[in-house]
Amino acid sequence: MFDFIENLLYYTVKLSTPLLFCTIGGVFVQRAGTMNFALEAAINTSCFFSVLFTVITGNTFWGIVGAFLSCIIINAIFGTFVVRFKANAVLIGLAINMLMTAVPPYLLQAFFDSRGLLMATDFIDVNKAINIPFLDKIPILGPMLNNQTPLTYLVYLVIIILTIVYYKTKFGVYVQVTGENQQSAEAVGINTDKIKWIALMISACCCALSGLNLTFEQTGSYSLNMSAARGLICLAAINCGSRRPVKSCLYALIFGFVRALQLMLSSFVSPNITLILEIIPYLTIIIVFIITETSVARKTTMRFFREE
Amino acid sequence: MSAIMRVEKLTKKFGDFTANDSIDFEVKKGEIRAIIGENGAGKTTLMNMLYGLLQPTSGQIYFDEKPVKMHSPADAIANGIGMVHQHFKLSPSLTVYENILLGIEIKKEIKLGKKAVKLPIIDNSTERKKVDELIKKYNFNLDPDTKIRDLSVGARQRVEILKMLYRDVKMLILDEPTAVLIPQEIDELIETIHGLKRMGQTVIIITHKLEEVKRCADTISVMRRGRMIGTVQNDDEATSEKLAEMMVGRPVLLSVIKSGKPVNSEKVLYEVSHLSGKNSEGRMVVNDVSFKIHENEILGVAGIEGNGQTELMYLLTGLMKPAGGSVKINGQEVLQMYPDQLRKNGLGIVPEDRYLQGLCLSMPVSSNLIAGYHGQEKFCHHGIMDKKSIRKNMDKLVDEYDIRLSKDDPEVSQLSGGNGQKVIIAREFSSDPSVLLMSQPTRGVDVGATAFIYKNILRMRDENKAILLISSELSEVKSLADRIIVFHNGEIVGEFIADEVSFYELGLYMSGAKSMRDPA
Repeated sequence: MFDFIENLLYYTVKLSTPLLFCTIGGVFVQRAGTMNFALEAAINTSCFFSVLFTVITGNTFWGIVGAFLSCIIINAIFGTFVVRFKANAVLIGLAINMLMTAVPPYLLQAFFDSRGLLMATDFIDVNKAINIPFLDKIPILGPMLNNQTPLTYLVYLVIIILTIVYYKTKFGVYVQVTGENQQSAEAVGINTDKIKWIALMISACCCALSGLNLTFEQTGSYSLNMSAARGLICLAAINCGSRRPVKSCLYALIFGFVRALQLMLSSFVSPNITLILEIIPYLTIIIVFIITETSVARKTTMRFFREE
Repeated sequence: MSAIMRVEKLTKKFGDFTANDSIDFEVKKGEIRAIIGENGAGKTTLMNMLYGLLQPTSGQIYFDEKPVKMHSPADAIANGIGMVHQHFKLSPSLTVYENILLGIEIKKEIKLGKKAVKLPIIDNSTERKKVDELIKKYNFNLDPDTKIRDLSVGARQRVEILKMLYRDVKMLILDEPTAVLIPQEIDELIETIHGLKRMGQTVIIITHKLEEVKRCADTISVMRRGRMIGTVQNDDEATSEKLAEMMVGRPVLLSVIKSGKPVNSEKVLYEVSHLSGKNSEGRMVVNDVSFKIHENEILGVAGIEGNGQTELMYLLTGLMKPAGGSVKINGQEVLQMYPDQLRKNGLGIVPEDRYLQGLCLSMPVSSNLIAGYHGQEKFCHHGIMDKKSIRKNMDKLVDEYDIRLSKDDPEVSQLSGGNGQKVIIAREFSSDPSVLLMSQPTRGVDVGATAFIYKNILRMRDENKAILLISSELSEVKSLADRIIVFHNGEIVGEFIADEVSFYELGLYMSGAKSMRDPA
């Protein structure tokens, strides 16, 4: 039983990493007043191109470059339509998500004669766990935090830095004002489009890291739709966390926890039930939403329209 | 004195419509200039060009004897022109000093040996100190640490003015600065403006309120239909009547004449008792409110906006869930009823926000004139709308209420504010309600239509109705109503006979300085 809890916590930290990256970056875009629906596509893109570039060049460095470049391009497409041309963010996001579920299988079929899998384990060593000797001596926390991969440690540093950026720097304040009252920002000469673009680029880099964590530190390969709705889960986390960095990340950890729980439970049951268990993370989101949203709905006293 | 700003042949066209037609005028250094005109006269367009929000179609602006071209408010501020808008552009969740320094934040510096290095982090303590000094210099009554959302409207306005002063502007434009203020705050504002003048500032005030213009301006420029009609010295010859005539182009009657028909105090048509309501944050926004309206009576509700009048209207018109109390029309309980049931029980509703709650912009005038009454037998048989009778209804009301249509049955979005409001007035008045609830009936409506609406409100009163009139225009409440109740913090803090109370006294109650609830 003790082992079970230790493992559960270890996997919570491990599986939360991609969610945390995506969430902390997404907070900026969301807070700047743009609904970034394309987070999902960005993670998927990062996974695919990191593996693709690694296989083509035989060098993981170019894989990393590929992940960042592709995410920046995806977010640039999104930004061009949504920020530049003021198109409907949800529709554009949806279109990009669809596009990125179609591009990888096409390229795989055309060049690798495979419909759904691209292995890169020859080039990528997924065993990147770092052993920190003194951590082992601490009960519970030790096994939970020790032997994690570099990006898992990095994500907490990124969260700290971006939280400081969010609350303490000009840019962070501008992001908040842009989302809260765009006119007040523009009245003092703040270029709100520029703020949104920078937010999108931060989000792109975070999504790239999120994808890299999946391919370079967990699987070593690309399989179709391996992002598994993580982008959408992060959107839920950001929304539940009222677009605040730390609060949103806590929700991401909750979603990471249920993911770990599902993984742990599935090793105890027959394969048939395993598939049903996979709905646990998504069911959790619905339950979290019911809890957070009904409390808002119960409080509102307006019968017809909600006030701003 | 030399001119600080001069404008030559300034013209702005929106498509075929000429909003500003070849405007020439100049402003002298250190003077207080008022620009007056009706809604739609082109005042705001002119100021938006001076502030870089709009680009002139033709013409030239000179500032400090230099020709200037401004593409954004930031350009205007860099040139020394600042503007405070009617709708403040502040971030409610930030503090006073953060709002003032928004866009020009001070970064933290640390000393590394002899070199000072700027960190990318905002230096909050220096910012606060600088703003504090500025507040003391101009003697503004503000605390730099307060969040904007906790400030009164008058204080927010001072923050906006400080925001401009911090940026070292030489000329300050105030757009409708008194529209949202109570009498005492207006006094303070005028004091502030005179203070700014003493410190060498040039101030331009855009307004349609003649009273305040008379009290503070040095010179007055009048605009009408996109043209600059003339500029006069503010002396004894420039009477309010004369200025109003310049504004409208014909003599206007500024005062309202009541018929003098007495209130029938025997018969209570509308009775609200102990009504309470909470907003979505759980705050009590309407707190234990009770009043009665008799036949042949207008009850005015005075108060600074945001003190529960909006929510009172929501509660009375069935848009919001009440927390308790009772509302009776002619003795019958109507609390919790939805608007359609309320209308069936003899309630007429003129809502606060014309376009959000009163009209459907994309639908034609004829449909809007039956909105809320479309279930009635005369417009609808067995669930099918009767086009002919709807049409007949429109022809009748358009004629009766002088609604001016550009073409046959246009969409409401094509009507001016005044005509849009007349559509609502026509619809609600013609349904022959016994009780009428009206909120801000003349907001954004021109002088001509306002006079017409006043006349009809008084006519309804004399036709044995009970009328509730909520308005932020204190003069409107005072001149139309028989009795006035004052709202502060969601409570009724005073009740007066309209003819026996002064503006000043009302202002004291509106600001919360006096209250009949206090034991004192």
